[in-house]
Amino acid sequence: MNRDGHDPLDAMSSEFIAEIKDDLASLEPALLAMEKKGAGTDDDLINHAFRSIHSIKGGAGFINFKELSNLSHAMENVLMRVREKTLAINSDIVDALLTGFDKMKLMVEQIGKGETCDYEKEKTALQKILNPDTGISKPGKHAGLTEKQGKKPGESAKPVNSRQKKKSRPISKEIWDDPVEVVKPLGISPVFQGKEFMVDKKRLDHALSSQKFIYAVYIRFEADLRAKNKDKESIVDDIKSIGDILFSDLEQSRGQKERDGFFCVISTILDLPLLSQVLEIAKTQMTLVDRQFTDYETLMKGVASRAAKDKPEPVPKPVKTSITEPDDTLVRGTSEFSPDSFSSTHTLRINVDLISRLMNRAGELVLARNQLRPFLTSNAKENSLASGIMQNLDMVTTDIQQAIMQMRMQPVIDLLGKYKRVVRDIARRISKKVDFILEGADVELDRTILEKLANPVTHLIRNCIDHGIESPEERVRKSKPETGTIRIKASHQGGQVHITLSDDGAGIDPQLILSKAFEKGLVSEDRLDKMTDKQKIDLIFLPGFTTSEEITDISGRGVGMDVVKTNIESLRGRIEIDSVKGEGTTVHLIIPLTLAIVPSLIVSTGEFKFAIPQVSIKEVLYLEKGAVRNQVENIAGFEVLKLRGHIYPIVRLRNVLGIKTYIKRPVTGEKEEEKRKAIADRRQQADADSDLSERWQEKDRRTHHWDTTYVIILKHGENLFGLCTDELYDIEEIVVEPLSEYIRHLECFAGTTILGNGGVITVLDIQGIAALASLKFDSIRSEDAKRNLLKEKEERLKGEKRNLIIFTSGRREYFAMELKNISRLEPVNPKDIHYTGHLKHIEYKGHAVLLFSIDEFLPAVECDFTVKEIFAVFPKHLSARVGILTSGIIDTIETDMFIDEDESCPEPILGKLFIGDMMVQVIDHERFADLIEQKLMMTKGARASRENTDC
Amino acid sequence: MKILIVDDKASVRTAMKTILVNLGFFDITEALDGEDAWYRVNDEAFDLIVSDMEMPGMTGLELLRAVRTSPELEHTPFIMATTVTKKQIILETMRLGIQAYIIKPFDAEMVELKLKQAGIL
Amino acid sequence: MGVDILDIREIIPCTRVTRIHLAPGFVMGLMNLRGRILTILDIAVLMGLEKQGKNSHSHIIVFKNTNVGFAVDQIGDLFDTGREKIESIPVNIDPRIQKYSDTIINLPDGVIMILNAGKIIACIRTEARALKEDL
Repeated sequence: MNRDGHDPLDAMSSEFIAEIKDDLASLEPALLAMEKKGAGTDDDLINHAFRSIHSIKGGAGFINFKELSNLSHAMENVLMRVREKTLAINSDIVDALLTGFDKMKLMVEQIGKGETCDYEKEKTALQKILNPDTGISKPGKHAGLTEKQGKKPGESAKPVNSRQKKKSRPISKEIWDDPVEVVKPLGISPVFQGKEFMVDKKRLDHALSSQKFIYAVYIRFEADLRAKNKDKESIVDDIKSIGDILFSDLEQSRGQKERDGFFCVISTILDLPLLSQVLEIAKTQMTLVDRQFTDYETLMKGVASRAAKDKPEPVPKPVKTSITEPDDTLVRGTSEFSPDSFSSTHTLRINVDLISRLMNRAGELVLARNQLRPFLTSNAKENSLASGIMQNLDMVTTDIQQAIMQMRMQPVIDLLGKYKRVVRDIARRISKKVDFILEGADVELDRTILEKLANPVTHLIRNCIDHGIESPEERVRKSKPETGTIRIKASHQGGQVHITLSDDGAGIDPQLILSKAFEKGLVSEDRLDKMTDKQKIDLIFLPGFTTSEEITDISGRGVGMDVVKTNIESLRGRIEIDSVKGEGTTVHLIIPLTLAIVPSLIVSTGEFKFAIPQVSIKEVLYLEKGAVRNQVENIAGFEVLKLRGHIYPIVRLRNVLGIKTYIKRPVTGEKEEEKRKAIADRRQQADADSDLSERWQEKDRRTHHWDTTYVIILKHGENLFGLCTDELYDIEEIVVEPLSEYIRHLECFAGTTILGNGGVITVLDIQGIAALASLKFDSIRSEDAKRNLLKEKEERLKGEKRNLIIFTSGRREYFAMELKNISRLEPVNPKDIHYTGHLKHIEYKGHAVLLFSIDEFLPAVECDFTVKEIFAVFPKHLSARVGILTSGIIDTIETDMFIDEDESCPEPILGKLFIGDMMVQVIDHERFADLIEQKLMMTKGARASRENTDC
Repeated sequence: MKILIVDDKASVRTAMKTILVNLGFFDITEALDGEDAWYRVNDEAFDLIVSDMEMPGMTGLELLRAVRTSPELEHTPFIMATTVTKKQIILETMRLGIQAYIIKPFDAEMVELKLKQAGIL
Repeated sequence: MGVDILDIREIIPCTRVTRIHLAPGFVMGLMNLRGRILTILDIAVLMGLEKQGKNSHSHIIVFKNTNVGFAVDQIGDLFDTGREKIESIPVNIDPRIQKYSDTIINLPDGVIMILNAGKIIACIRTEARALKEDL
């Protein structure tokens, strides 16, 4: 105990227990393998088994589990002998070990339940192995001193002697020049009665100050020395190796014939058991003395309590009930034994609850991310960083979720391997010989599915051994190998796990099944001839097929194949049987990989809760009253939600399912039903084609008294739609049960489940709901597309900041071009303009540059050159030798204004822009460039022809 | 006080660590086996090593031997915590020099006692 | 009405039945019985009897070998009856009721119709199948 009374080891118990369980798990296959290989078992295997048991013993010691400790000790002894080759493995030994193992397993399972296990039987069996003749274990090193001393048990002859010695031999006292102290042995053993020893005080103090133990030891000449081929020197050497001798009466004892041994007082750090080991002297011949470095009382209490560990504390509580037979459906161990499968240093043991918690959190994380998304991506353009963050978050969240799902997956082999033992035991019990083969080590299933498979598979296996595999004699008669084979194979096919159990036994006789079924009134007479063999065999799945008359010890405790079938079906799986009479039977189990656990969002409308599988949820929105008005619109009779530039149809769960809700009349406080008509009701009256619009329009203001509501955006194939509910709850992991047959036809539900609080709720089927609401995704989609196209157009023009240069060409007519399309501006002196026919040009840096004015293309006012400064604008798209004359540059502006594209504008005008009250015509520079090129061509041509004609 | 706990079983390490922490020793490092421990002691200075005997690879005894034969580390206080009670092994460890020999299973009281014996407490 | 005790698995109080929307009228809802989901049916509706009122059901009878329970208004006495007392149901009884019952017991203070559990279940299954085919 710590000072405050807590033993820190209490908290550690579970860790020790977990390790013990691990050791047990690795021990069983080792024992089974030993049984198979018999005398040919290799040393590695034996060592492994030994180490496991040794480890269990150690762990048991830590948690003070005396029974487990003792039993494992007995098993350890047997294995030790096997290891030392003084015992050869045979089936009896392995049997005893396995029985012992079973008891150990039971003990561990009983921990905490407060029941003690009786293990006498197992222990005796083991001891018998060690000592076949007597059946009692050989007396060990702890033979009572009384036994050996024999003759005079009660007498205290010796103590008297030594006392006398002390008194009658003052010489001894004289030898001690240094001060001495008297120490008294504390042990109750007769040899120490009344004795006192005188030890060198200095040495004693030294020992005490270094916290050593001080023991008084009695060493017998015959038994401890001569018999062990030791002499006095060697034992003194040994003592000196591990401590100091504070006193010894070896010399004194030499002369005395009647003495059979001598005493010494030793100081050492070793505990008593260790001292005993080193000196090879019985513990009863040694004891602490009354001088120790610590408080004698505390020490003795501590030592005594540890020595007398009768009551296991605190973990197993001693209530005397005895448990005997372990239930042999207990599953344990792993499958194939190979040394590698145990050195799994790359695996980690994790508490299952922790993983469940992680899973829930992962689901929540996904939802939260979904909710965060709109905030991060709404201003994606300004917030380019955010979308990168969003992508990363997406990736990480999905990864986490998948990884956690992976954690829950366990190899199917884990479950199946445990049956090796089951098969062996049952086969033995009913004297059949069965081989058990497993295939498909890497197939994994969610662990909850695995857990639920345990019962049905157990039943199938038992059935197989009991009814399927014939007795060895019968098999031989049928020219089959004496040993039957049961083969279990696990594989992945098309998103499902296939588990096949096949045997080469007697097969199922369809006729036999048929007649049995007929007897029980499960089949009517007229059907008798019309059934195929397979249908006949399938009759065993009918409830009521197995009756209590057929209960054997092994299978059929009122559990029939119908229960197996129900179990498999509750996992959304299928079971099928193939059988050939006389040859064998194969049972196929087909289980969907991931269905059993469906993380789902729990929502409610009115008083009713529903579950929506998370996989169908894209995101969840919260619409406040005001927001609703802005974001919900009516299109083609549907209500749609405007969200981030797209429109989605929305459905109100209330309407689809016809949930009635009640409002309280404000004055009277009465509850009154809200008068909303359910679509479903209407359906019966209206035609299939009858417009929804009519129905939807019927919804008056009342339906528009939208309170805040949640809209869950759901995935429906490629489409999305929103489902409105009143409340949201948590994401829960649910096991979906198939709908009962009376409601199976309802397409809006995918199944039912029991919530944590015990209530039953239905799981919504997203496709079904959409169908029920007659959502016409196509028309919504086209509307959505149309809107978006429009928007894109707007976006293209609007919102882009442009830099325009505004200039005039002629008075009061303004034009603009985007600055980015202009390479330069040059001032032009009108006087420098040369004319050649209609063409104008000026000289610029040694080159002739053509100038055009806008009125040459447009019915604009003629360029006014009376203005002092004119500029030539040189667009980029033209060669450097072409410029546009302007009569003045007004301004350059930055604008995001929408340019009203007007096709009625003549080319090259793109459209008009209004700046203030100024109407500016924006030039489409590309078009302009084209026109100019054309003109150039024509001019060249004209020139050419003129040249031709001129001459 | 820097303590190194060496044992291949997590449960034992945790148990020892818990006890030590409750006794006021917070700076505790764990090692999985002898070799791991050997690297660590050569990396940092420990004031005490508490080691199991039977471990895969380098055993506690081998670790002790290595520590005692290393000039820098030879005086490091060493406590053995093990199930082994074989005479020769005990003699050898005593010969090499250990401060305490704890037999598993241990409890808080025993550890406290042994730490006193080793002069640590 | 009476039911043969041997057909009954258990009788439980009628609490916490979850209504299933859009389900056929005779389906009252679902219930959690120790981890199993039972479908609770309303006998009265099945038989075309007048409903007493919404919350009139007091108990649910669960038959053996089914996942179905029947909601009833009241559980009466348990009594033993000699085989002689059991008579065939008169032919003029409503055929809807005759679907489920073929025997009666004449008692001094009234007639008790004995429901045939097997028949009820079989009939309902047929109806369920029909519902499926309708769609």
